[in-house]
Amino acid sequence: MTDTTPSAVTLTPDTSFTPWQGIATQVAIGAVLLLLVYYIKTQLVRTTKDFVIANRKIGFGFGVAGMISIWTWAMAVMMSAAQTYSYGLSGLFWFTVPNGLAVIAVIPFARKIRALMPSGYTIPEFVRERFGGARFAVGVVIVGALFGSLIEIIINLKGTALVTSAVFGVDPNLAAVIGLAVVLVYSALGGLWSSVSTSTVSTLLHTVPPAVVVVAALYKAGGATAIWNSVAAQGNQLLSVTRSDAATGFGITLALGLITATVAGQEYWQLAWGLKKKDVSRTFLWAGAWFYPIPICLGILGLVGLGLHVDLQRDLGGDAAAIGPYLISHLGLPSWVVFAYVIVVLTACYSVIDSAFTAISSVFVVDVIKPLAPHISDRSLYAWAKAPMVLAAVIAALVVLTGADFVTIVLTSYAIRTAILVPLVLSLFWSRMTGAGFVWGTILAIAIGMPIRSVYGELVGSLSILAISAVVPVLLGLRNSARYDFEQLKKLRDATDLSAPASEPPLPTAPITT
Amino acid sequence: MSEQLVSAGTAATLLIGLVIAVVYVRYMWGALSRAVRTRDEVDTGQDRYRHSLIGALIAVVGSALAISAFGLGPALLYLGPGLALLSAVAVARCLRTEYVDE
Repeated sequence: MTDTTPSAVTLTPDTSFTPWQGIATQVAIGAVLLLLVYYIKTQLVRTTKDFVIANRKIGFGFGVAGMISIWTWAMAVMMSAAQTYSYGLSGLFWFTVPNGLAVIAVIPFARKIRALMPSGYTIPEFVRERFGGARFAVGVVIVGALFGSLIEIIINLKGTALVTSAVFGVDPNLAAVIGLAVVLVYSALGGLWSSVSTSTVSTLLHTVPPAVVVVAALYKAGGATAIWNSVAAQGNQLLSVTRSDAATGFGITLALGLITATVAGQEYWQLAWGLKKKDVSRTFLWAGAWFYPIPICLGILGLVGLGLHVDLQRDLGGDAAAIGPYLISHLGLPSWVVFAYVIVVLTACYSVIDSAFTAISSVFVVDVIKPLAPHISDRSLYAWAKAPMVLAAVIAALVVLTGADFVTIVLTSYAIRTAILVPLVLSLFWSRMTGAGFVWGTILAIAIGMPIRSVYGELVGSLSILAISAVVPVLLGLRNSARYDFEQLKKLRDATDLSAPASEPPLPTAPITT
Repeated sequence: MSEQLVSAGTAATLLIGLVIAVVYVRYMWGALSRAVRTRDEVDTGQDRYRHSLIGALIAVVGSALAISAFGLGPALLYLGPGLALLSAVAVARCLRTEYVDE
């Protein structure tokens, strides 16, 4: 392989692509996934339980592949390069290492919840059973789950719009609406099975194409040696993982946010309940471990950007996340390589959006419809399971199309997820944890922690929210002499199993036992 | 080398990637077929995986070492694409496990 100096490489925009090619790519990906989902729907999805929780039959392979893809947001594809471009290898280190760890960190929680509550579906359902129907706590957790999923949809729609508008010149709003419609159609057809199976295809597309794209990009950028030497010559510890500003600049905050997103994320609890019992732990471990190569590979584009002296303001409009799309569309790569990169980003967006749709559907079915209409038929429940997906799609489309500032939704979602993390963990592992502790720990953490965050920044704010949400329930729990009998959770009736005999034990009405 | 194939390295990566993709899709189909066949079977297994902690350590330390290795020399930048291909192989193996080893 011949190396040339990066200075000899000229970055010129590829203007040969048209908006119609971008739209066709979006629709073509959706059509392929729809074919797969149609097969899944006819073979595996017959009841609400199949739709919402895949009949708890997701195996090791689909579990690992599905989880890798669900965790590979457009952010993992583009931000790995962006943080490398911003901080060198320290940026890649602090972006990547906590990302896989966040998935692996779910293992003890997933194992515990699956053993304690084998017939569960959602986090609000667990909170309701654990604290005897504490309405406020359940309400807060439902809002957190729905907002969290909605945010995932909106952020990944933005990713769809960013890459198709940057490469093909598609109107960002049109790109977002097409992406939303495509995912809605196949998600509404097959629920969790469709999410997991399409995500399995996406995982293949998140691994093989990035390898090809990065090798091609390195060559077109003058070769690995030229890029490496150029970055080394800039000094500034760009080829070291020990720069402390990466940790303090974003690394520690990101690590906390990632762990909150998985441990308190409905998408991951749902998968823990959807997996076959024997596969729960190893699925989370393998998914976390084999997720790592995706950002590690794509992060190299950040080094290419550094090596070619891409200017943040002049070339990227001040947005480091644009480094990947910018390089791919300016290095003179053949069209098929550009399409491969676009497919990586689009499938990353689609797989996150479909898992968010499924999570919203689960919460709606189990925590809204069933409590309101406990005798609803499976046929009606199955039909209603799709309604929240459509509603979420409409809301997401409105937010994107109107250009509405969704900072409030982001902050609400962030605040609730971070505030319920410790109370949720205590609820799972500590028998003295009380419903009052859950409610007041969450409320006070948000009420005190969010103002602290707005004044002192994300790191101090996040640590404050976590500290308050830990201290309050612990203090209230220490005053509680009663012990919760976790065995009660095993008696929980499957929320969508309408064939359960009427003589089955009723739901516990007095959850705190001595 | 054809302009479309970019470089020998790109062509080789593409070829390996296509082989992996074919195997991956084959194993995915096998796992899907088994899921359809066993749809009505009762899940009686228990979660007994005992390598979680050591596995987690290996994964986290391994990823940190891989990123650090980029700083040791230019050739090691190709470790990234290599690991990405290996990831597809590992997931394909997980899919195969669903219908061959069980």
